[in-house]
Amino acid sequence: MEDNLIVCTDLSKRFGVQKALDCVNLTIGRGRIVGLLGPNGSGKTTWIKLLCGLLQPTGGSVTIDGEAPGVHTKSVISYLPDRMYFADWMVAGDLLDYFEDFYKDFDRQRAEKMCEALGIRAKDRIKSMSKGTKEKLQLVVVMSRQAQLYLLDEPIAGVDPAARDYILGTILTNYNPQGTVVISTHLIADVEKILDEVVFLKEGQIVCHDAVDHLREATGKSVDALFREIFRTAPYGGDFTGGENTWEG
Amino acid sequence: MGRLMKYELRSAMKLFLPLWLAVLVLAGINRLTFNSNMLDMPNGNAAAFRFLEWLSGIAMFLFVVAIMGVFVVALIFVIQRFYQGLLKDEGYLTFTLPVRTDSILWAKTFSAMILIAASVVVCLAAVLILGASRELWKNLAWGWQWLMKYSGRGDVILACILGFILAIAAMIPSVQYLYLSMSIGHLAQKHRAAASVGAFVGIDILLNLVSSLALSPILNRMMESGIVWWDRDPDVTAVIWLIFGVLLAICLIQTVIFYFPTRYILNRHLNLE
Repeated sequence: MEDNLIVCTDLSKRFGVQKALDCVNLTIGRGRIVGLLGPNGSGKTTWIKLLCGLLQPTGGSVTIDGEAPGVHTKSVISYLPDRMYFADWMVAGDLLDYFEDFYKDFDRQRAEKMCEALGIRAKDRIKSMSKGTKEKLQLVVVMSRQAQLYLLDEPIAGVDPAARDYILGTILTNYNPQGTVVISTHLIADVEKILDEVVFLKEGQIVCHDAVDHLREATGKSVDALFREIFRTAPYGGDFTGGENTWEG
Repeated sequence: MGRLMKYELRSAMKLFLPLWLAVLVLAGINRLTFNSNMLDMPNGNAAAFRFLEWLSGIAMFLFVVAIMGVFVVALIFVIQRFYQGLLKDEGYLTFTLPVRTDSILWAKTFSAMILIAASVVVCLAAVLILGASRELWKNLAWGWQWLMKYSGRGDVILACILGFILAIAAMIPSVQYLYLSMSIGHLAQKHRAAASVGAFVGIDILLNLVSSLALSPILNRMMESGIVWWDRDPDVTAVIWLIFGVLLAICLIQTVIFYFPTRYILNRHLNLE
């Protein structure tokens, strides 16, 4: 078993002339909870998609568990995309069957118990579920795997604070402790307390990769404060602290 | 691949089992209205006669619509399962399964073939329910005997078996032609559905051009030599095998033309929205 779970070497991805990722060099070990932090368009989703094999790099390489993205890496990655990926025809039971058939590390009993706690029955049509229930069901199947790597793309974006607590609680109580969890988000304050490491992405490049405790010690700031400092853009008319309304005067 | 096909067919059955059942039930209803001897109705009951005639007309109309509907829905389903399942949001699940792209493509192809073949079988069964009578069986038996009489028994059976195999084999490139069109359309940044239709038309024009320029002279020459050969009282079995071989080779070439570019696009240029 490789010590380093994820190794990116000069990893680049272009869409036409636009650089989505630019020569990313990154190594992430096992048993870590990593925050992949950056504003919208910074390359977080592109990086995750490259790891999942949903995109092919235009330069450099990436390995997971010592192998390039392929059948093996897909069997050890549990991926939560930033959208619903269910088939319309499925009932909840079909989805559990599907995961059980394709993933050896899928714990059916755990998934059934989590569904029961959410009031989801096996015969419930996924199409008829509310957006929130669908999101929770998707999280349930992803976290019911004993995966080596959990790639969670914006799991808490666009949900109310109660749902946010449920999602973070589900992740923390169900992930495989020998595996690594990567959580991509720009809502730092909510996840800061659970992170071991952070990776800051800005315009496709890594601007910071460090252990959270070391970062706090070295800068004397919280990750949230540091994020605001790195990604701060002054609004038109100057900073709002003490600034004047641009329609006045 | 078996596991992928299991879910493809499970999704198909949820839609098609009720459809097939409807076709068979409509065939049964039509048979009943055919068999009820409406002309023997009492003379004074003209209104009931007209009503039954109208009912019979409606039932037949619904039957024809249902038969056509099964094939139209099957075509839309084959397209939709590829487009939604691989190139839209569902693709985020399908392409992160620990399986090879080849398995995904062949599972989709074989499932589509099973669905189309099953629809043909159901529609044939419906026609038999509607029209099966002693007269029909008698005519079919007469036709079969006529065939046996004017050609060797073995040749007819051979032609039937090879024809069946060809019909099955021809479904592969037909389905994969649709897949390639959608995959090419996926390469566009915007209006991917329209680009897929454009790719479908473009491939058709290109293939027609190639076949008229390159294949037609070859086939014409083969036909001419075949006619001369036929005049010399040839071995019918050899002719059947020759035709089968040529048509199977065309299917194989088309499959290669459609399959490998689709596989390349999905492996190297997948870019889900």
